[in-house]
Amino acid sequence: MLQVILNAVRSCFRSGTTIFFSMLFPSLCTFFLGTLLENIEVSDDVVGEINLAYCAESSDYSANAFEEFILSLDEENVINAEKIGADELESAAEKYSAAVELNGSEITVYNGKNAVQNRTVKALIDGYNQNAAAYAAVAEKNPQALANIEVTDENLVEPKDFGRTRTMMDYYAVAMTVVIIFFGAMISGAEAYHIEYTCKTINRLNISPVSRTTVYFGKIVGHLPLVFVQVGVVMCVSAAFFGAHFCATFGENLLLFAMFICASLATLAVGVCVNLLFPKMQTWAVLMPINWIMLFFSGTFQADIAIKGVSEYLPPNIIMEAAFDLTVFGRTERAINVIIWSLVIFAALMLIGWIKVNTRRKNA
Amino acid sequence: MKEFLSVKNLTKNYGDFCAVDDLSFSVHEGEIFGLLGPNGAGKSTTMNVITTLSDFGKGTITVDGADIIKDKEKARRLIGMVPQDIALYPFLSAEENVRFFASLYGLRGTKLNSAVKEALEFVGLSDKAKMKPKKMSGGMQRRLNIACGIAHDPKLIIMDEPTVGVDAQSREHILGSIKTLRDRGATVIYTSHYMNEVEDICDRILIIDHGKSVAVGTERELISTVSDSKVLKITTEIKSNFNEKDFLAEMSKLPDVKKARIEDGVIVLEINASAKDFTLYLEHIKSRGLPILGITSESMNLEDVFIALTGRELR
Repeated sequence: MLQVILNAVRSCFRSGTTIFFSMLFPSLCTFFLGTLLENIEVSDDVVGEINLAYCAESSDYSANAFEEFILSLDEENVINAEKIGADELESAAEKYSAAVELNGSEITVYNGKNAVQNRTVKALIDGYNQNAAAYAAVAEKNPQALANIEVTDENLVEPKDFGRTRTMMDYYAVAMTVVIIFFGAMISGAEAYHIEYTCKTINRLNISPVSRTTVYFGKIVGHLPLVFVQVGVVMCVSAAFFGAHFCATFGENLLLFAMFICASLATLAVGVCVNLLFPKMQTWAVLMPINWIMLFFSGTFQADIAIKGVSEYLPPNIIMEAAFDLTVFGRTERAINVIIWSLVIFAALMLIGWIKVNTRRKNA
Repeated sequence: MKEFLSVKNLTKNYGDFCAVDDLSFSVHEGEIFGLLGPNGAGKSTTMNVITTLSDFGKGTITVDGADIIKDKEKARRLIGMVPQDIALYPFLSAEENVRFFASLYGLRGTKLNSAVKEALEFVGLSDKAKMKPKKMSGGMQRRLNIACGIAHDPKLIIMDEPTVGVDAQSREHILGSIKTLRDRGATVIYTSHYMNEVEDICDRILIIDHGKSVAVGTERELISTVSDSKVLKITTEIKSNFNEKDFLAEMSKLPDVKKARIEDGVIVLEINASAKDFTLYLEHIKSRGLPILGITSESMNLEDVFIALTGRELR
């Protein structure tokens, strides 16, 4: 079996086309797409720092609540708040981004010079206003309900700091690894037996004392190094040369790598199986368009491209979602599901392939 | 002579089409056995079955006593195949190609190294060991194709048109190599569309058509099944007053002469194939005052036999 394995390894690594399309090309794609599309994530308008002046001179409940709201925004560094007197309001627009005044139950917003900041302040105040209106409505109709509200320290909105900014490079580092899973692994799987037909060596193998099962599994094992190298190279090159980030911890990165490898095994098995079922067919020519369509509508090349109700069921999309769940949020559940399903698909297709190679035409 | 390959009552159907029909023959150890037949006669099917590439319906096939169904692995170890198509890996060098195919037969270590070296030497490609097939000429690729089929030292070598599309020099080399293999004790089954090759190297020949055996034997035996005559043509100068009728009547009475005629100044004698001494005929012609300007002897060849037996040309 060792000789068959080594021969399969040689067939993978001695092909310039394989090396280019399965390793160099995805790495370059990560770089070019990540760099050229970096501008896409730059917003049309920049809000910038908001210095908000506020005036709440009465000391009733609503004024206190309003001041508390403004100060909470200041505490969370959403805005820089400064309390001013009513006489300063008219000239506040010169010094501050905007100013707000609570006068009884009315809130007046004094716009500044920056339209974007004005809209932002308005949105913040509108939010507060609607919340206050809802509170007032409940207080009027069912004050007991308000009395029954349990106030806890639980914060329902919790910002999480990953210690870095996610970039397009990060996106494409994952996306291009998924591309390599479908192009590199699947196509190399499809070539496993196809090469024997194109080189006309299949009969030499079939009449040798080595069993067809040995040849079959030798070929599969011989393609595994390429799978590892493909995924490893794209991930390492993206991280080391282009500054892409994957997961926050080593353990999560290991899980991500394992998920990509298992997914590659499944696609490799698909390639092998399709080739065995249709040995005379140019398997890659059939699989390539299917892969392109799947990858395209999975948002692999552009995150916004998707068909609702379809894209979420496409294998590349499922793998990418699991990868982003792991890299962005540190959630492992989807990645583990992908690993399990990939291994199940791999085993099932291996079995089908094994049955196929051992089935000979009986023409009595 | 020991029977090395035995094919008995071989029948192979493809659906309703009978490709090989109750075919029986045997190949002796150390002989080159030619397999001839028109396209679709069943040659390839027969070879595929012998190499264990295809199953078959009825019959038994043994290679050196090993049944190819019951003792498949042993039979396979005895067989080497040189296919008509160049069956080589383009990403491997000549040496690596030979090494890989030899290793499939269990050769390892020094035994494998020497087998590879010997096979490359045998086909004259030792100096091209590191060269990849795509950089080789057609003839060199053919020779490498042979090396890959014989490196494991098979006792039965099946060669399917190994000289297709090669230059004269490579063809001579290949044919010489096949004879050498035979001389070393290997048994060779050889098919070719080139009749002169089959005539040149095959010890015995089987002609099959429609999946059945038509004739088997040495070249001479095959010719004798079709005709026991050969033609002797003597070029001379016949004068206008020469009595051709009497002369031909006299010639016809000479030993081994079946028929005599004159065509455009050439005396054509149809004589028994066994006749070897022509001096009597020449002396008789001279005695009638006719000069001998040239003599040619034409026997039936394998191609004539093939056409006579199958009604078709080989191509």
